[in-house]
Amino acid sequence: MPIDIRVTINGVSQSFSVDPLLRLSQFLRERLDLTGLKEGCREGECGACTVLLDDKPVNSCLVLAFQVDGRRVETIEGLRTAAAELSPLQRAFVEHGAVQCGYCTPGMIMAAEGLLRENPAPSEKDIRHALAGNLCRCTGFQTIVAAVRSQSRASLDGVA
Amino acid sequence: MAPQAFHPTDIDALQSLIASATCPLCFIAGGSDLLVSPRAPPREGWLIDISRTSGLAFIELRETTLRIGATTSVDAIARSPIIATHFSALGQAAELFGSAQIRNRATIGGNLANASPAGDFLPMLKCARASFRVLGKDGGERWLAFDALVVGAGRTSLASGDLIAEIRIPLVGRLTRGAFVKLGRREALTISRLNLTMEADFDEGSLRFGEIQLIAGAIAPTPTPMVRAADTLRGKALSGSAVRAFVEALRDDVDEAILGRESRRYKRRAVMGLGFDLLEKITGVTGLDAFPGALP
Repeated sequence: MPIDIRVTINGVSQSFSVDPLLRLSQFLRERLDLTGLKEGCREGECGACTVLLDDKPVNSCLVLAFQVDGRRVETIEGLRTAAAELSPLQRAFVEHGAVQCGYCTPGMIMAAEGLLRENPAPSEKDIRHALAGNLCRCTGFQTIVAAVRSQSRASLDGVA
Repeated sequence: MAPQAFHPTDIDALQSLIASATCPLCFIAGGSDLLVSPRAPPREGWLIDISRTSGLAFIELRETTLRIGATTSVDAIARSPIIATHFSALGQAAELFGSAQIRNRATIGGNLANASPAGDFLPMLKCARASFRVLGKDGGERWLAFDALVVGAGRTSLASGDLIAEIRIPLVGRLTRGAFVKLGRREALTISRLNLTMEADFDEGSLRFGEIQLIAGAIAPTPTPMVRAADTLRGKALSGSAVRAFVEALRDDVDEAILGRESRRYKRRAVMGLGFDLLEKITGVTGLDAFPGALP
């Protein structure tokens, strides 16, 4: 039996009726066409489905859609600026060559975004700890860590 | 088929819901165990989301007891100064638990109810003589000790409609130091292949141990006391020979616990290395393998 929910997605409050077993990842991708996140493993291992739930990174494949009733969900699509430009963190990933095939990138960026909102000046150890749940098989992680570090410095310097 | 879903806002509403049920019940909080394939969530009955039911997520001290609500997240445990002060092994395990995404969702009650032999919180809750408040379908409650709750690999004594609501740890008589170490296939986001929890009294001046509790996880269906190894250190001063006797006894304890299992071949060796890490963590003394006579 479907259940009614009201949820704020990328800043817009909306109402839906959802199947109780529908995963948040499926709901976002298939119902709302927010296809930035990927369902890589469906068991919380790869992090490609990471979104922010009330500012905290979560694996959307391990959350049921009805569980986000009354909460805020942010996806990679929600990071775009009002002018539809890339966010400073997204730009940092591009500038540091932290994107190759791009499959993991939305989840990686959302995990990093969650970290930077909570800790604007993370150490390299903090960054690696925060991104340990996101697997990349192209870049080797160095450029990803460098991108996040540069963005944290840029934010503190008021550049971004 | 799909279950009917509910998300009660408080414990009264939750208990009323449970009492009125005439079908199978399934509770979900973080979902990090329930939704992992190939395990399937229920296709019928009632699916009750308790992740935001008020009164189930808290960490507090009350007189001589540490109380933790069942839906307290692993992340909240890792960050809690109360846990760091009064139950440091639990805090250490929480920091090593899964990934940031998992820590934000997984709960201590879920870790218990799942009763995985590799569940990192289980050995330390047994070690700390924790008791568990269980709400029953009849509206009543009961308290269970660890061994009465976790009865096998993935098995608890909970009936349909029973819900773990709270964990209590007695602080009177609690040993002064705690440490947790684990071995997995990678450093982060790893499921324990072997873990050790130790609580001990240890005097930094004389480097002497007092009472010791030591439990291993992920070697048997339920957490296993390492009795021989604890005996080798109880009342002893830290020395090369004491360290060697400890890690060799750990190996013997593992031999006995999993005799005949294929994993014994590497776990009996691996536990010795983990033993060094454990002693360094609990004593704060580094380089134990350089102590004369420490290496087997």
